[in-house]
Amino acid sequence: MLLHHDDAGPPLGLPAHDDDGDDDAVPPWLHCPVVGDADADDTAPLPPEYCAGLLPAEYSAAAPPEPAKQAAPPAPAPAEGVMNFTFFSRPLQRPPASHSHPVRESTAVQAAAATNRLRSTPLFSEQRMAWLQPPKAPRAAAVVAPPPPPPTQAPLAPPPDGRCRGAVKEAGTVTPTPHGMQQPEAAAAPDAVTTSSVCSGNGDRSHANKRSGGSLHHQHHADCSVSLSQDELDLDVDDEGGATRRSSAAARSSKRSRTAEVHNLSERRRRDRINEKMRALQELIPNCNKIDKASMLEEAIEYLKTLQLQVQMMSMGSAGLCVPPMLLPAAAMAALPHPHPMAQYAHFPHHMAMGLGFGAFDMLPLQLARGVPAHFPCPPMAMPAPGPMFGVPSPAAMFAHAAAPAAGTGAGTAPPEQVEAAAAAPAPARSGAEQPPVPAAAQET
Amino acid sequence: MSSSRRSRTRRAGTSSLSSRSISEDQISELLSKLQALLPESQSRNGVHRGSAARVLQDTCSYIRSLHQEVDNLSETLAELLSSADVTSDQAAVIRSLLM
Repeated sequence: MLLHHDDAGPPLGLPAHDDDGDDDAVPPWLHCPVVGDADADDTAPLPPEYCAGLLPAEYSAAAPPEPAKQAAPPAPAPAEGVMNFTFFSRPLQRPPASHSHPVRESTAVQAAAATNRLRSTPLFSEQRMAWLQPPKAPRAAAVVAPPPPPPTQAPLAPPPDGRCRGAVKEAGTVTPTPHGMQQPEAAAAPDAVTTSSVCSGNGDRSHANKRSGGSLHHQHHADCSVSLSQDELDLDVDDEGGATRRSSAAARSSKRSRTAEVHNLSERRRRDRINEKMRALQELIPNCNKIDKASMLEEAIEYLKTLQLQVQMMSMGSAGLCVPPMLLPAAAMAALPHPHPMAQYAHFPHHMAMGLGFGAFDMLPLQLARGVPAHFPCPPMAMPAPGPMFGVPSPAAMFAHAAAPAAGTGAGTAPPEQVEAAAAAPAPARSGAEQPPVPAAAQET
Repeated sequence: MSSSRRSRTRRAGTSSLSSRSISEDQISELLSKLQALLPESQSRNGVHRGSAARVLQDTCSYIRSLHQEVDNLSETLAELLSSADVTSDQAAVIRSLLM
């Protein structure tokens, strides 16, 4: 009923034969995966193709690769006609290459990969899979998902390009075309031989083992997925290749050296993983041009502190502005604005922290309880909503950590009134600031 | 850390991301500092509870979440700014926060 066409080529999705009137309600292509009809035979090759990628790796492995292979030639043809899966069917050459795409594309990619059982040389997928699986794959997916914002496959090229910049020149060959990306990658794969890049996904025996198993896990690997090293290539080309290499290695050397080799591989895998994470971190940090680990880590630390502070400031500000000033406890009135240095964070409108009506005293302890301010590298300023300090002044007090005594008088930073103090506080605050550049900068703002 | 790794550290060149010329200790110290900043590390006691990869991973996730939070807060502040309820002073405050 649903799919009258024989599998010769007619697109599955086209509605023509379907029930009249149903087509209006239901998109024709929805019928495609539904196999339970008389035409199941015709469509048998397809469903596994489409479903395989969506299923866990084991299934995809279990799901008949043979029929899939047989169906591979015809599969793309009918798939072509399917509206949604058109671009899946294209990459005949490098099905696993599609795995290099970010999470958004993962489903599509997997379907494509499943569809194209031409994975004679699953160079990329295994690599990615193998060392993606052990490290938190879901988290890795989360890691990768946000950065590349790609509705299409076009942006997929840039991420790998950006990530593996140093290591993989071939990444650049991955063009943004929807189909091209797999093909260039296919081309790149053999070319990437020489790159024993940091991103290399640990060409290891495990790759071959997990060949079909990893189809779901390359989500992680937008970056560095293109990178290959010679040995990884060899390993991944075949199980046989890997086995050959292994056996030859074993034959050549004693067991001990083989152990050492395995150890080295795992070491390299670990280092690669770390390096890849470092790159990810580097991409997150703005204006980070450090290439050595230590300085990059230092910069990361600073940036993290800055971010935390910024979040703190903004949340306090929004809380203060959203809440009516009447919420201010009477005791807060006694804590008059007290000019104190807010030096270190000159680039933040910290003076506004005092200017803002910290009306939501009740909210602030909650915010503080989140633990964000606790991370600030300030001397203990009684972060969690200290009694006299109402938690509010603590961020401001944190700025003054250079002037430790401010802790006691930190409460002074909380203006008694919201609106009135907002106008008054910044002025005295600015004038009172120890560092002229700070208020100057603040005023400039 | 194995001695072999240390020797590799000394031998390795500089200025490449994969080089280990910078001492492992220094790096691990930085990683500890970084880990200390992370939210979930507060409950942990062990210094080396997380591997380097784990710490970096957590850091990336945390930074992303902070970015998200900044965006949300910016949106909130922008909405506040556009509303008619704020005085000019408050508007100035908001603008400065939004930078």
